[in-house]
Amino acid sequence: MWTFLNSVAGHHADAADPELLVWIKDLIDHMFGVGPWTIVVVIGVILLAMPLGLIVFYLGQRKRIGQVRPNVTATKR
Amino acid sequence: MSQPSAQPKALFHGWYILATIFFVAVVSNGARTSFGAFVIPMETYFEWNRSTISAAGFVGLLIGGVSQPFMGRVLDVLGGQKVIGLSLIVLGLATALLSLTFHFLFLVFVFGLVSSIALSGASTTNTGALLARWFRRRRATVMGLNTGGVSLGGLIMVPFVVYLIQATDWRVAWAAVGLIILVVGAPLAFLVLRDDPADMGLQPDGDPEPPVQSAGSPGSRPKGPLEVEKWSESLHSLPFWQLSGALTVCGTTTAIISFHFLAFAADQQVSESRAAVIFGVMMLMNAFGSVSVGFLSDRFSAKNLLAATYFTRGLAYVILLTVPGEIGLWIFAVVAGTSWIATNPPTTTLTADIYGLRALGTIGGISFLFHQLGGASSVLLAGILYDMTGSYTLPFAMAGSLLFPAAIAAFTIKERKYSSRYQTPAPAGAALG
Repeated sequence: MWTFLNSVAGHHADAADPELLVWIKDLIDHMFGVGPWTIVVVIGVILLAMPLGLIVFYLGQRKRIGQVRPNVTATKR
Repeated sequence: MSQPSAQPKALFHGWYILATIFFVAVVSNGARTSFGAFVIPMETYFEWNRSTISAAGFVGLLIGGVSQPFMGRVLDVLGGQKVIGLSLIVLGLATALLSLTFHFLFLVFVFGLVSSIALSGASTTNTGALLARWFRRRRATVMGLNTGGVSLGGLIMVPFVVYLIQATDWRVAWAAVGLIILVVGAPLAFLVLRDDPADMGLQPDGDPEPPVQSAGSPGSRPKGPLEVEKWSESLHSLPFWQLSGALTVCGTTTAIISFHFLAFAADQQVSESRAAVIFGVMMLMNAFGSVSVGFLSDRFSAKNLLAATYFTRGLAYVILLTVPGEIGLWIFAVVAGTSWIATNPPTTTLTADIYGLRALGTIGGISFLFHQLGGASSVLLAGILYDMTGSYTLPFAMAGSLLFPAAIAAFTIKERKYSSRYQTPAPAGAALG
């Protein structure tokens, strides 16, 4: 039973298929032809820009509004 | 000088919550999807075979499904901020710890058990339950964006990890992914997430507070007749089984393709590079379908959109089985891709609108368990049938044929009768019909 489960799970598990990832990587290498660090840095910047931009915007609004609960006065009548 | 009343209007806090949850979906689910990128480097390093390392993924799949109702229950009791924030801390630590992997059992324990439970705490089921509190009119739209974050997570995180492993090694890559979750994701969750708009004196969607209708009336939020206080009450009503039954088919028909896609493409004489492109297009269509169906579900009947999504996927299966070769795969990728995760926004929205918010995490978790059970059983069955027949025709036909009953199950949900969206606010104390 265990061998059987392993053989089935071996197709994919819940993660991306490792063989498919090799193919996709070959495709990206062929299309862009840049070094691995270039891609790591570009994606890393995109990844970090999302939360940092959000934090800057959020804290900026809190500072602008001047209170912890930003919308209370705007919505209460 | 500005007058006291001319205070700048703040952006509704729910949008910050959505943006945070979107990022959480990107990094947490992206980290999970990236496991595939570690398989070859780790099995090479430790001289494991594919079945050995896949066992960790398989344990993770099981634990993720089984733990979801429990983590949903924890969220219902403790609230979204604590559960999602703490889950991200554990997930980040566990992911970083994988860089110290020294034995197969360590991988099974940390990845298969610990990180799977933690991921359940920050899953789209749980984040969807939190978002449902913050959005009512735009509920399905934000659910679609939330689910879209899962797709984007795969598209961003997987290449990041693949190239980081190439530039360094798999230990550094595990540590980096863990640190992103731990240092960026978790603090962001604690900073921005709040359990309920009422805690901040806000209304869902940022709407103005409704006028008090009569003495003693807390407001005019309409309630559906099936709204529950306890999750178990939902099990006694038909819509739960319609939604969960259809979701079982959803798991069945997505997992079978995800697991057997490459083998099927090879059977169709499609080259490796072309299969990679087709799969990539399908993933892009995921996000498009999820966001579109979510947006439309807020404007039209959610159960009709859900039924249409299942029906569309059923048609895609018909195309896959009747149009041979690469062209069949291309059409399937585009048509099925739009429906792949698009069932989530209308399903979560209908669950919230019918059963209310008190037990949404638990009810959604149970439905997700059905989804996972359907997926696991279909993968097993497809493997058996392929070995018996030497073809994917029978298992794919069996799975695809289930989509039409699923569409009927969704279509026959009495949304107008049960959904709070179609109830009119009644005077305090009046019964709703």
